[in-house]
Amino acid sequence: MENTKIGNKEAIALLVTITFNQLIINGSKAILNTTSSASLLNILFISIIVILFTCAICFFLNKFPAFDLIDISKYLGGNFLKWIIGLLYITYFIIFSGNLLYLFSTCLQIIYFPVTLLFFIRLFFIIAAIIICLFKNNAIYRSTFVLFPILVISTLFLFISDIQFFDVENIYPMFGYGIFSTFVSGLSNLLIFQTLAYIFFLPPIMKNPSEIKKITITSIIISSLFILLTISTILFTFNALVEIDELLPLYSAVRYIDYGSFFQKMNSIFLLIWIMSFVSYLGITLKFSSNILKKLSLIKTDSIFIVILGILLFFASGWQKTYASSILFAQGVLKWSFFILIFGISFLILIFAYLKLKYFKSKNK
Amino acid sequence: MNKTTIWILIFFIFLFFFIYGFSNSYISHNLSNLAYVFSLGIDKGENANFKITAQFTKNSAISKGNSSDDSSNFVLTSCEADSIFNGINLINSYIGREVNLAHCSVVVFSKEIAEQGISEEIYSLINNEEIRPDANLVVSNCSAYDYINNVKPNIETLTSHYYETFSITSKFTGYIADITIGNFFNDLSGRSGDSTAILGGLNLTARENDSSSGNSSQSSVEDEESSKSSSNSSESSSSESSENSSSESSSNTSKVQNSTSSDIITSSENLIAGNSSISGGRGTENLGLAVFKNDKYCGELTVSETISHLLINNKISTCVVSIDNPLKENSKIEIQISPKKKSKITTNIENNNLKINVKLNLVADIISLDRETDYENNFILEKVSEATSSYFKNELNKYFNKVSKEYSVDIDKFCLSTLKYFPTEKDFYNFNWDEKYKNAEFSADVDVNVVSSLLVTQT
Repeated sequence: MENTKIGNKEAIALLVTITFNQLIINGSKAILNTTSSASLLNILFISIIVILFTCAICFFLNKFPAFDLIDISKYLGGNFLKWIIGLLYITYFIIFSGNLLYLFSTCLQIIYFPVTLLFFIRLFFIIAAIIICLFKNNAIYRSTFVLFPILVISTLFLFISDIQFFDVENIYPMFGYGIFSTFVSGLSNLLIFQTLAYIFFLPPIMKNPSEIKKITITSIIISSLFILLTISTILFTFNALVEIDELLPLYSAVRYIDYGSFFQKMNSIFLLIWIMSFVSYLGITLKFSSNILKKLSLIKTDSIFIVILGILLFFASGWQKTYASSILFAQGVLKWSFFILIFGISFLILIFAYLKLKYFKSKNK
Repeated sequence: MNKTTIWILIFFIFLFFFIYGFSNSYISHNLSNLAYVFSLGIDKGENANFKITAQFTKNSAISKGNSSDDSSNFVLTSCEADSIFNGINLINSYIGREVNLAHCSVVVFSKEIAEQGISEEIYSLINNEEIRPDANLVVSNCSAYDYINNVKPNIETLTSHYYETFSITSKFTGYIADITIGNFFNDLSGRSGDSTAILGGLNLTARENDSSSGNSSQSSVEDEESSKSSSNSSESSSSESSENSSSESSSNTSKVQNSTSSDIITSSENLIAGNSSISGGRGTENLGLAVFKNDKYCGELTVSETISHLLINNKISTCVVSIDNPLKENSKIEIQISPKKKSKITTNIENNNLKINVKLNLVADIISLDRETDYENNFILEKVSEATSSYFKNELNKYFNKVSKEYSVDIDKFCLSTLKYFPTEKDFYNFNWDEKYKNAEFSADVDVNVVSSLLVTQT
């Protein structure tokens, strides 16, 4: 039983991996297109907001040790609220990662598998994610932890390799499209911290739920550094006034890496790392969603849920007609869902549950 | 059936499924089904928008590696089409293999095409996953077909090795810049400056051959020879090369803008590709830069202007310049210079007027010596330093005049140094950079420290 819980380092790796995948697939492009040369300023700004928000979440979660949002919802509004929140989150996780799966599969198809049907690429990811989730002892979290150093090294390697093309003056004009777009419309870039949605469900799987604040803040800081490094690489390599209109801007930056005639086309290695990382991300999503379903249904085994959710995820990644419609969906419906669900509903539930707890405590006294 | 058997069965079902699904991509990417393009040429077509030329290497040549005569190992194929990839598709169907651009080292545009604008072509090429952004971009003042046809390795064993020397030549001569498709695309897609390309042309030997024997008939003969020498190969290159060469000969004769020995230029101040006195086995030369205003070719930089451009952009390791000898009237002295520190670009906006200052910090060695001079004497070294400094100031002023007043292009990205004065992009665009740049006041500070002559210090 003890072996199914995850340690602090594994939890950090898990949370950072989620943000990292968001960053690779469409996060970096969204940040650069929204804020242009003010991207770094915008990242610093949204990182501070996310750290403050995470502190607030952790404050409330600490009042309910080892409880996740489902348990807290049940405490606040009974089974009805528990089911509502559970289903909302499952839908959100599946649709969001399904859309990301479609985007990433399309990129892979364009780059490496031009004559392979998208169906097979999507299926490959789903099956890999399902298999990794079905392994015992929560192997998905361990494998994510093993992969984590590779992500760190590859990001640093990319940054260092592209330094020769850097022009630091690309950070000017300091406020990019303007102060409003940097600090107000740029808030939409909070979407990149997708990891916030997963924090609500972290305590029950942790060995030390009391250390959730330390873990989440550390992971947010590491994620912010990741984002800063990645965006700096793109911003400094390309001109400040360049419109990022490429499929995967980070992939474009990777293509510039060239160490003589021996190490060329290193983009293949990076894509392999990103594929592994994306499988981990899908696995984490399936695992978290199945944990929610387990709590809702009170069934102890989650294998059947993982398979069912995998099938749902497969369908969620197949309805999009084009890459553009998928991006539009992410920037429209999914962005608002993120803000409403995470910053709105979930946070309100935590506040009201805390008030309820406080009320009953004072009443008991 | 027990649980393990079911799992094994499921495993094999999925394995079969994925083999079926991914095999198509694998087959199309199989080495034996690919034809690698080493260079791609784009000319204006007679019957369609473009004439596409692709230089392939035979697979046997790759495996041999150290073939002494590479000319027999490459195949030139061309066709006319309305777009680059339409042409590649046509070549694809002719060759019978999938044309792969992953090893394409150079893309050559003829000057004629470049003058019309090449943004669509550059965007299309960058859009292709196979083309690497570090492939060099050349604008040839002869036809792209002739340029590629005349690229035969000289001291290199493989043509591809010659293409790899572009970046090295750029750093140690300053006569060309290492311009890649990626650089060009970034300049084009951004709004922060204009772009350049390597200026290529035919050398004296090729020009003389062209003028004496009617241009492409020469290349046709060469191709036939090369095809004969490789007749034992399984490839059908001989028919490809000779057919194409002969079919193109008439069109190329009229298109090539040759210069023969009558208009040879030796002074670096006016020297550009296609005008040099270089003669040798490889019929091409790269000298100077092609300058683009947005996506349209608008002029060229001579080799001395290219040196100025590279010094400003810190893209040169060392180069040799010839200056007026301050110690002896009516004579020249050769100086080898290299940057001591990175160049510093300072921009100021005073009364809505733009002032741009470039500061260069160079170290130099005297190469050409005379018997009467003591090169350990500080006074003499200072005099040479001053003369070198004044030479570069003069060169830079001429360069500034050409790029800002004559061409109105910002190929040195001076606008990036100005961005810090504007809090937002809107403020920058309201400043009307293009107009201000034309009327900008340029100044150059060149600090040259002549350290010594080289091995001989006293004569």
